[in-house]
Amino acid sequence: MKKLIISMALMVVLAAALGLAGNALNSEGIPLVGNYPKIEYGADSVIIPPSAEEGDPPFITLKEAYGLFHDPGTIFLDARESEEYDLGHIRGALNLPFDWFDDHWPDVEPLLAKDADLVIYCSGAECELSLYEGRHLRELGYGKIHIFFGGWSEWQSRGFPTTMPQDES
Amino acid sequence: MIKKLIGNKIVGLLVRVALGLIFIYASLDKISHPGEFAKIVNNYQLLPAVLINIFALILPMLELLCGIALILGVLVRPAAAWAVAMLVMFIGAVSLALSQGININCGCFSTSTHARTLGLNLLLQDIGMLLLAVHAAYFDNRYVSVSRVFGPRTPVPAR
Repeated sequence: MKKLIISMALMVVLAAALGLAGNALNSEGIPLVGNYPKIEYGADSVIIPPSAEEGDPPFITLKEAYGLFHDPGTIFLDARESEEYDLGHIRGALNLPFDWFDDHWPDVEPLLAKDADLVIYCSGAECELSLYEGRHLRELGYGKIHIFFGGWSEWQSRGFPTTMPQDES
Repeated sequence: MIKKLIGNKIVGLLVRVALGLIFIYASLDKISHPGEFAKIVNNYQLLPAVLINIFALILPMLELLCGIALILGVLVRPAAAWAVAMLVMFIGAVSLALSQGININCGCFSTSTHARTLGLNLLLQDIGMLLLAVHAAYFDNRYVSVSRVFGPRTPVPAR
């Protein structure tokens, strides 16, 4: 038993030596301590766009969005173009491209109850479609609108549930 | 009958070599793409940030060493014991990720973003490999091995 443990320890030491040496020689080598922004399950910093105004629908954090995701009454709306939606979206989200709102609205409207929790998102911090769509839906009389401004990029970066093209094929 | 088959030295050799090949195969893509593999390790959200790159450099090398040792028949028991330990760790990590609904690339055999994501079939595959590893560790098979060719076949009696 003692011999086994010593042999195992030697193997891991050898693996470490080879791994670190190989990395030093590898042109694609990586630093020993990488830069990983702290990714917490409960990320609770809310991202608010500079163009937000008083009275806009509430902006929610990734954590809140993830919480709502598990509530069966919540509907996620993806405000991006259909091409982007098709390349991957939050699992279960409906596509309602803001730029083609009127074309898609007849298909989406029957699925939305006026008092349902709606989480609207687009690609992430550089995209304001979710904000515009949230304002527009509020004007149409929807009461529980949440804007998840971190959007697709924040959601995907945490590995939260998605639908990707290969899942559907 | 079954007991005899499980303990058979040729079966032991096949188990050892198969496991070795799987581990070598699994290690190669990770060794050549350390950055990609480190990101995948990070996605599991199980290790503190400072340990991720070190882990991503050492683990594939340990897989490779274990695979080589199993095939050559050198240090079979320690290599198989490491295989058991690594597989238990993989099973734990995948189960945790699945239970949290995290849908990530598993990083098992490939670091490509088009590689498979986590699923139950992956757990079953890991459990199957774990059985092979336990077998290899238990029987410590040396049939057709470098240590047998070069090492002393029978203890030299002391005079």
